[in-house]
Parts: sequence; structure tokens; C-alpha cells
Amino acid sequence: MRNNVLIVDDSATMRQMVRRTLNLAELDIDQTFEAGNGIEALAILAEHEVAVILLDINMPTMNGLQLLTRMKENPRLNDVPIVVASTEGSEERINQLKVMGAFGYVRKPFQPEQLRDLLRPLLGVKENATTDATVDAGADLF
Amino acid sequence: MPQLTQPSMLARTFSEVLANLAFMFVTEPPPGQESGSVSLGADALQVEIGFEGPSRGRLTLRCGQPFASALAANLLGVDAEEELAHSHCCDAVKELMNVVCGQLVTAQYGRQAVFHLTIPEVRTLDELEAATPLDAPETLTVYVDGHGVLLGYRGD
Repeated sequence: MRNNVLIVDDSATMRQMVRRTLNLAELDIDQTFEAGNGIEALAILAEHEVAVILLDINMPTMNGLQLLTRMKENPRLNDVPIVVASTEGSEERINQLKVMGAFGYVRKPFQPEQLRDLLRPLLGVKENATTDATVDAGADLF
Repeated sequence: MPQLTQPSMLARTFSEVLANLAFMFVTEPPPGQESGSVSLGADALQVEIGFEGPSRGRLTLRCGQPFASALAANLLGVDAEEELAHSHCCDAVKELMNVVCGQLVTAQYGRQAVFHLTIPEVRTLDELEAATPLDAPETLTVYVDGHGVLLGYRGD
């Protein structure tokens, strides 16, 4: 399977920022796709295999929780690891994400190292990567 | 009416989010600028976001284009003069307020509380609107890297 990443966030600025963070993290990524909501994400997932999804929660049209639910109901998509990147801070909501099958959670505003540490086990690093070994930067792996 | 229990909470949350999200910092008013008086210039932006849970209300941010461009530039890692930064101004201030609001309700009500946030809405103000005081019981003025920004908090 190709090491593709899908960034789902209604903020184009945040998508660009995450894309830049992924590049700087020297993760082994083939292609990065972007979607502005859950509906757009499902359209991309219908055509492309992805290794991991970075998912915002608060989005119009179809929010992150709705997309997560739809993916878990779909046998073709229910194994795709989902890392939630959201401003959500309530323990109940974060536990709900865990129960729903999210792989990990990082709260906005996050540091690039947090994202890197969550994604490294899923994507690996480039052969010529120069970044240091993984450190615990405070992201939550469920 | 639920209000901020500490007037400094909004200022502190805003300051922390700006620093962590965009590496921008709250500063003293520029020399000659009275604290609390802000001129936002043409095409000022206003962003509003609502929250609903154990309490409900709205947060408002009003800023000038130079602040919005600087914010977008820092988020994107480009120069503030680049077209890319200008084109992301509205989106950048919306995302800023999304993060500020999420952090603020947690700071106020703790991690046990569950809140729903609305999608932030942004609009450009005409000169008259920009000169009108914010419609919120609690307002404050902060300076970010020399740019004046108005913040308002309304608990319903």
C-alpha cells in the first residue's frame, strides 16, 4: 500500500500548515491529499488508498465525528488509522474518539514534534532523514 | 449571565494560543498609542464564533489587515507581503478564533465539560462599523507584534 496521507480540515491555512509540518518531519510519504470536510474526504477515499488520515472535528457539511462514524461502518475504510487534530479539549469527547476507533489525538495548537511522533509509527521516515529519534512531545496515542 | 470569572483569562488564552500556533507575541502598545485605542485601517476584519455546552456565548475578534496578513504568513511559513499570505487572511483569523475558543472554554470550565463550537464567521467591516465599539459586555484590546486587536466576550 502506498504511504499516502489525507488531511481533512475546513481551514485551508491549517491544511497547508500541516502539509509543511509533514514535509519538515521527513516522514516517508508518497502523496498528500486535502479535503475541506467529510464529504470531500469520502470522495478522495473512494479513489485513493491512504495510510493515515489527519482529521479535524469542527467542520461544516460533514464534521469529523460523522466522517469517523461513516468510515468505521465501511469495511474498506474501517482499518485506516485516523489521527484527530482538533481544538477539542473535553475528556469525554476525547474518550469518545478513542471508542470510535481513532488511532491518536493531538490538540491544536500543536507542536510539529507532536504530529511527527504520532505519525512516525504509521509512516516511517525517509531513508535519508536527518531528524532525531522519536521523543515524547505530549501527543496522545490511544 | 455567565461571564469570564477572571478578566485576564481571555487575554491569557489568546496570548498563549498566538505564541504556540503562530509564534506571535502580545506586546506593549506602540509609542504614542494610548492603551485601549486602536485604529484598524481599511478593510478591517471581524470574526465571530459561538460556543454551547454548560454555558453558551460568543467570542469576537476585530483586527486590521496587517495583523491578519502577519498571522497567515506565520502559519504558512511565508513572508507577510506574499500574495499567499494575503489570500489566507480570512481563513487564518477564523482558525485562530476556533483554537482560542476551544482553549478558552476548557480553561473556564475544565476538561469534564463538553462544548460544541460553531464554525467561525468572518466579514470585512466598513469604516463606520470598524469605528463602532464591539457589541460585547467584556472587551479588551491587545497588541500583537505592534498590531492592535480587539477581543469581545459575550456569555448568554
